[in-house]
Amino acid sequence: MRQSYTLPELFLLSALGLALLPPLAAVLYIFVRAAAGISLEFIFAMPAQRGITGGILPAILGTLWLLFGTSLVVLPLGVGAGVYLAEFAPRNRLKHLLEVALINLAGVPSVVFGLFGYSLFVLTLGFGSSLLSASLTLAAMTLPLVVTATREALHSVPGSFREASLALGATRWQTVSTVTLPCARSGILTGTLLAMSRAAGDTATILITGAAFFLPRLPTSFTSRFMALPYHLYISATQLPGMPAERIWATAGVLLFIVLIMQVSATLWRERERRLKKW
Amino acid sequence: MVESKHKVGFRDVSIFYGRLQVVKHVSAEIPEKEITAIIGPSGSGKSTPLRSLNRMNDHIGGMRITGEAIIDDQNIYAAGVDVVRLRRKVGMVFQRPNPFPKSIYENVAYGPKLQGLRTKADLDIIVENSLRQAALWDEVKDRLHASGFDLSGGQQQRLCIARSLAVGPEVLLMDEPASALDPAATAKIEELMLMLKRTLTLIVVTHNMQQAARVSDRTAFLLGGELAEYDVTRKIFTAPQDKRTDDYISGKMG
Repeated sequence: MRQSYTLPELFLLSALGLALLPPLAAVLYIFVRAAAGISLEFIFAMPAQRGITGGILPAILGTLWLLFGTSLVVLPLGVGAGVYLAEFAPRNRLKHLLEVALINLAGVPSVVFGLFGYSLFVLTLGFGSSLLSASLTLAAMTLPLVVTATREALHSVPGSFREASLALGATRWQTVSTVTLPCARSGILTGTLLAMSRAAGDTATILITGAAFFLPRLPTSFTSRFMALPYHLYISATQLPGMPAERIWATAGVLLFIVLIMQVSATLWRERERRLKKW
Repeated sequence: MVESKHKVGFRDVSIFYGRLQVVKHVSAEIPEKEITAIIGPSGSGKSTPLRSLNRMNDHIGGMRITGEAIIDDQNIYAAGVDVVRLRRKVGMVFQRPNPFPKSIYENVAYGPKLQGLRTKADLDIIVENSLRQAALWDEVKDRLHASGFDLSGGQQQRLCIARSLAVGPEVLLMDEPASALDPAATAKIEELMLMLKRTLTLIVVTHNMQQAARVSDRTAFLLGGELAEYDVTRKIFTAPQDKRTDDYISGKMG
């Protein structure tokens, strides 16, 4: 054991403690407060009285549907674009510019994407306020993340695998589909999961593209409006006098739980693959 | 004495990376079913002409080649040459063993599968034959479905050789194939090369002069991108014509 810390070490250590404390405390606090409001009915029942009684099933399923719709768009497009950038695009200024643009696009505030989605999908293309418009908007927001994750995952595959495959008479596409893409699989999937967890919690985009506060039925198609956890949380915490506090915390707890599940599985998956691969 | 057939040839080949000229007007005829060694100090452009023979340099931006690289009397840089077909005929083994993160079996079956071979019985035969040819069969026959990464470095390199052989090449290019291996593993690779030359034309880049002297029939000495001397190996090592060759093999240079 060490006897004492120097002053700088002490400072850095307290910085670490102070940095970790608020987020950890927040997560813990939310789960503790949420426990009082969680019940089977809360999770599996329809809401009643504008959400003041009953459950939040449509909001939970709405968020899951939203994630499903978003990934349906994001996976093929994002992975396709990432594969093209990493494996096929000629190395020139345009490619470099695109890559920098993608990284910066990931930082665009979500409300801006929301406005874009409202203008393009809801109004111009006439998809209306719907699960479809919201999914497409979230897809637009998360695409840069997935493209970048795919590109980086492919870049981390050793060039010697590509060389070996090409030298055996494989075409570029055969090399990508049978060697590099399988090697990059875990990186791509974890990147996508992280992007989806960002989509799950986003309120600003869905608020103006299709989320409804109170809709005591399940969405029947991609053109219906829908409830979703983050928007439901926002309204019940700020716009609804008489909403019991434990129901607000419980909604937050459920949303946090869904996001954490995705984050934790992404992390576990990455660790598992890291142990398996030896290059 | 009857001159054996020339399998590979360089005719006034120059190779540039951007403005840098790495290979300068190299001309040489390489006979069939022999081992030809390319030696020279590091940075003398040994690998570049080797990699031009299966057009692996095509993937390097700014590469330009002039002259003719010949395989079976055909300029492989002529318009209309099918690079994929060329690479089936001209296999390559790299400096560091680079098996795929797949099983031993799948590594060897990779090339034949690319060509559309799917029948398990056929693949089994090719995998066994290739592993036997690479002198690896006895060591791995009971664990064909273990990962290629579970093998030792020397075994991995023989696996990579087997993987090349499975495609049925006529020429095998080896880019310092033993430089990452210990002496015992190196000896096995050299022994294997001597067996392979019964059916294949081998061209091997090496910085190890003893290796060139032990296994090769002919030796090309490259210096600063120029072919300083090219002759029967025994002559290169006993009676070099060029003073620079003499300096290099006697250790005054390199």
